[in-house]
Amino acid sequence: MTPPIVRCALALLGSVCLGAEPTPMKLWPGIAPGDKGGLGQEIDTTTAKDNLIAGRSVIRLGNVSDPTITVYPPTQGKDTGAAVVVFPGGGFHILAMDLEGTEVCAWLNSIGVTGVLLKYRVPAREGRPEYAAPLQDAQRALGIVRSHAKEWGIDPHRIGVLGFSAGGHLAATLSANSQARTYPRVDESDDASCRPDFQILIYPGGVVERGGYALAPDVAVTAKTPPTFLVMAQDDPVRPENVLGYAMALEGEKVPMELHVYPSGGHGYGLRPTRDFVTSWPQRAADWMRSRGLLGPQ
Amino acid sequence: MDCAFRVAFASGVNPSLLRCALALVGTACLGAAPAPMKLWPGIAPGEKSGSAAGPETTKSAGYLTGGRPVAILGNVSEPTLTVYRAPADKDTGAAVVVFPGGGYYVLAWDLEGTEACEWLNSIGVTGVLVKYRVPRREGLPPYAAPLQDAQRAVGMVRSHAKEWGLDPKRIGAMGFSAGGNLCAVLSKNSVARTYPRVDASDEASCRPDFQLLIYPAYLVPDSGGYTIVPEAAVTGATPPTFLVMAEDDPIHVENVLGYAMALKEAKVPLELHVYPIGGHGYGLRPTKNPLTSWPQRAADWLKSRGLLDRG
Repeated sequence: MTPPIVRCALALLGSVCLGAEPTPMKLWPGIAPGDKGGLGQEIDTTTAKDNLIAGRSVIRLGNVSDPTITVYPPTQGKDTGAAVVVFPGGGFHILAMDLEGTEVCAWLNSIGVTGVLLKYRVPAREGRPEYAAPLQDAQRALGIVRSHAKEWGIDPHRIGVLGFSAGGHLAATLSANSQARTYPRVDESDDASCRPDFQILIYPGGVVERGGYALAPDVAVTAKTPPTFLVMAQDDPVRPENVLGYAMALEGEKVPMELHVYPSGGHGYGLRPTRDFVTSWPQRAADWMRSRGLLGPQ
Repeated sequence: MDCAFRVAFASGVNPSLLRCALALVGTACLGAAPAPMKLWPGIAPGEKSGSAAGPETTKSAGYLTGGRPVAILGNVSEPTLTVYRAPADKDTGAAVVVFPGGGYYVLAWDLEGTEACEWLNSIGVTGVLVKYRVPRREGLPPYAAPLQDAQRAVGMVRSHAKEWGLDPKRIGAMGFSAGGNLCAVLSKNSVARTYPRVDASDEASCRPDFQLLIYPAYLVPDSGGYTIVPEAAVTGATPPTFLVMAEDDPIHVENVLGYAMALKEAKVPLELHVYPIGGHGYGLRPTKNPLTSWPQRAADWLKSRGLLDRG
């Protein structure tokens, strides 16, 4: 039997420390709003045939009907009091739960930030826009985190979001729809603001309308859109128009933004380092958070 | 350090080493500055003899940048290039022709010139600093005389590549502010010279193999928008481009956003870094602002394109 501390150190070399895995919390007391059930069992849909990312496999979680948040607090000596709610991608079909979830929380912890991993509902619900159920989950998650800020040792004014691909779209949709909940009030968590204090969009999809730079209506930018950090590769098949269009809209509203477009890297690299310099984005993101005072006094 | 070493090597005298070390604390190591070469054998094209503008001037700007003064050159009518060779132990064979900014009125000589060449040397790249003509010539577009100087400079570097130990296929251009505009205008106008042939240098291609535009100016119209002005238009033949700018730059971040969109449409490889704050005219001087770490981004970009491989 390996001692837990060794097992933990070994696991850190891979992704997260399994020995310390925190417990997920259900977002909704009963069935999530608008759901009728009958989706089937939540399941990792990855098979041996699926691509590896930076030489490793990816969890592709499907059939999510019981959304949760999982809180990953940083080690005590490092804690800055900031928190980031993480939205994995997966085209609103599945969730890349490790690549764009647990691995992100491990990185956030390394810079003293609490990671809150949102498992939102996928696939898209029939007869509803693909982001509709995930938006309810995201609004609920932000409200829960902010209303528990004191209890969890989080600064309620430094709660951001970070999303990849469809999760980036979800972050932008949440920022555009944080004035009013899109579901009936459940409890006092829904009285707290669900507006992110800052947002980090990594290779976001679905932000612009097809074939141009005009924003999709559900991600409209206003002067109240939170300060934004954007990263994408020029050769991303999901298309860099998504970040260029969003950056132009932010600039037009004088919302502080940071944008990094790298020539190569494709899509779906998460935080796994490869030869492409786009995979150094976590360093840029940490610098951005630090320079905005989000990681404590400079 | 390298600068001090070279002077010591050349002179063998200790006092100059000390003087040089002190100078490094300030700006460039004057003792080791290589000799400028005239771009044109006689009077530059389109100039009238006995420059009416008066003698070239050097002043200190009335402000500090990165805590230090900035040397400003004015009334340039005798354009030159100065070759800052990469140190032998680091030399990659790549070269970058550097165009300082100054609104086509003056040149920010150390901030956006000699200091850029020192940085290039530190990553094994030869810096070629161009002193192009300013201020704007009456009756001509602001970039017209500078474009002639830029075309001539890149042709001279490429035609001397063998002699100077450079790879003629890794000659880039780098410009700040108006100098960034000049790079883009050069890239658009590198098929034909805009002056009568002077010598064999004008037969070598003047197209940069890559370009770095640092807070470039005048790429989009003053009236706003993202459409690139005709003299800097992007085509499929535009070289791979690195762009950096601050969102709050008073010269407007539209310049890099518009140029990046045009590059993307033309399928030209691009790298773009927009930082939220930093203003204009920061050169390569580091502060606490992450924006000022752009030279590291640029070095990574050069490296990723294989431009820093030893030839």
